[in-house]
Amino acid sequence: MIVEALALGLSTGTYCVMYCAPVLLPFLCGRENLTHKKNLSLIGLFLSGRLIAYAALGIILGAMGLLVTEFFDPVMARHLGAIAYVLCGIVLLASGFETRLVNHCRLACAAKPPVDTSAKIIPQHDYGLACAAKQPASSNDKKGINQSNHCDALRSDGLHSDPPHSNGLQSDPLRVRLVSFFTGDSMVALLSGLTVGLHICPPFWTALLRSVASGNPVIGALYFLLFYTGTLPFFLPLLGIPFFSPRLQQLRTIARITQILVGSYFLLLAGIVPLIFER
Amino acid sequence: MKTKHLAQPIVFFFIACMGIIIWFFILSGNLNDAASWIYAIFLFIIFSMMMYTGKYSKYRRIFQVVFAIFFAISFIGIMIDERGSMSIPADADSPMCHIVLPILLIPYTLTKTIVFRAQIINYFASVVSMFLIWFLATLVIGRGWCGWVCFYGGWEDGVSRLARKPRISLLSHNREIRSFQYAFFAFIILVSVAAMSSVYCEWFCPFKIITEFEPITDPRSLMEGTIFISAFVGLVLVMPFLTKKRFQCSAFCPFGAFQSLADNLSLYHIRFDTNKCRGCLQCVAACPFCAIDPETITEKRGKPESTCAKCGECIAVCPENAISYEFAFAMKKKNGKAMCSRPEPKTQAGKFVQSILEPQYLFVFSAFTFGLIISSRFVPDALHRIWQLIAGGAN
Repeated sequence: MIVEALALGLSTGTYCVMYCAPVLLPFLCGRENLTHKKNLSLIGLFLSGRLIAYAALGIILGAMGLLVTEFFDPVMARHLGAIAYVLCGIVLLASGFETRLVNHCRLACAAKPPVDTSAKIIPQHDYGLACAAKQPASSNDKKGINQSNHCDALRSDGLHSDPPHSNGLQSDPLRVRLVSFFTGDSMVALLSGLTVGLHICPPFWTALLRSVASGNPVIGALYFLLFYTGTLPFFLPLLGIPFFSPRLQQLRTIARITQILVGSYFLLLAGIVPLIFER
Repeated sequence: MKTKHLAQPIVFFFIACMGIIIWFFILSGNLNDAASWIYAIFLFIIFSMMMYTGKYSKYRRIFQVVFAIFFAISFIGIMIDERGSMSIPADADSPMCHIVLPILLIPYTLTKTIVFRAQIINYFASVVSMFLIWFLATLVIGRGWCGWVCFYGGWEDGVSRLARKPRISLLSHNREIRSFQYAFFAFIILVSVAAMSSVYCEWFCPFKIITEFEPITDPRSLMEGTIFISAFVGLVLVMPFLTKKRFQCSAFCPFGAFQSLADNLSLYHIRFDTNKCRGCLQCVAACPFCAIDPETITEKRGKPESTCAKCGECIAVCPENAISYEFAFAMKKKNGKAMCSRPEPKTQAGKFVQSILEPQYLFVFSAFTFGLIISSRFVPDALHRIWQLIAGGAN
């Protein structure tokens, strides 16, 4: 069974790439300051999300055993896939428009130079877009600090704490914090991995049936885990994105627009329309 | 430039060659067919005027508009003959067009599956024949396909000429429009791969209502139909009229973006002579494909941006004759600027041969030949159908 699960993943990994590429490629290519480390961590989080989804399904369906076949039919699988598309679309759109907000923020910061002429450039940091604003040297300049914090709130990464130069987000509403948390790169990678993991593709269907047939949640989860491991080599080419992406501003712009288009398509045409109009 | 063609025997040489091609593709086997004769004479006049006056874009536009309208008439007629309506039956193969080509490539590469209900051979627009035509056209004219051959582009070309001046200026958004086209192309490819179907044909094609469409039987197909009609009216009629640009071709068409990328393989490009250019920017306003930015001229880049379709509109409006067709291999970069490095011929024979091998003549000849071949069956067929309609109506 171990060999079979691995072989299934290895032989059908192209399908996984086909399902994951519309989400992962524009997302990774559209990131600013994409270093190899950041790229690796985002891919890792995305794949972790997939793994969590697979493992959860494996445990649940394995525990239910053949009882699953009573209600888990292709119609339900299609509905699950459509729901996954809706969730994935929301995540991609939120991330895509958050990027625009950050750009607006950056422009707004740049457009309003501080009164204090002894200004310094805020340094770029790994986990977010750098704000090119000039921060007043005097930390008592309330207006300057608030503006800077607002930028930080929008661009801060979901799984990271505030940037070092930030004074926290006490003056910002909670929803800004929540939005920035859920639309941060790391959280988007994890959530999109989770939602993509729920898409019912043909190899997934095969693994699912074998998992169900085992009748044991541990073996079911293990089967999914090994199947998942077999698909991993197909994601190796993504490690090359940082070689060209940071050098091409136009590519990043195109990738961001693509991400928004893919998100809209997933949400409306692949998600809501089938859920409402198809049985 | 516009008058120097008058005395050149080389022009008549090309007109004679085109006459042979027209004979071969239009009249051969159809000598008793009045429609074929009418179309052959039309093509001969168009090409002769093109070469004689040097106004390539003007006569290209006439050809493309005529081709677009008559293609739609012929195609719809064929569909009605075969199926009884323009709607696609559930179990029928469908003739494919060139726009689908890039959408098929990646799913086929990954899974050896053609995600389109089309026959492989034995159909006038099957997968293999379209790939062969595309490959040959790409090697020769590149994205010139959009400017000279595309049987959809003529709609926008015609509509964009109806207004005297643009109501909406897109000049400052050229870069964004190009980025959007590439993004839309990437989006269509990626979701087609994920869905293993031609998503563009299913949801976004603006030309469905003048070719074929899914029958409207449920809310989903009603949505599709609404999108198709909106896309045709908005992108093919309204926006070209308001902007005087081929808006759909510039901002949405996935084949256009694909062809822009593949254009590097082609034999011909547009060249700006930066020494002659005075920076009047008339070419920027004239380009219907948003392929010339003001920066392209002011920074003396020597060539248009990647989405140039070689339609020749910029050549027609340039008061300094600074824009021309050029061989790709003759475009060399020197100090960051594209320039031509063709040597001057030393003998009369050399001058004669070089006259024949002038890139402007060869490109126009090649592009027009491709258009002629693609249109060779559709336009006479449409003329037949129109005549039958008139004669039937008269009876």
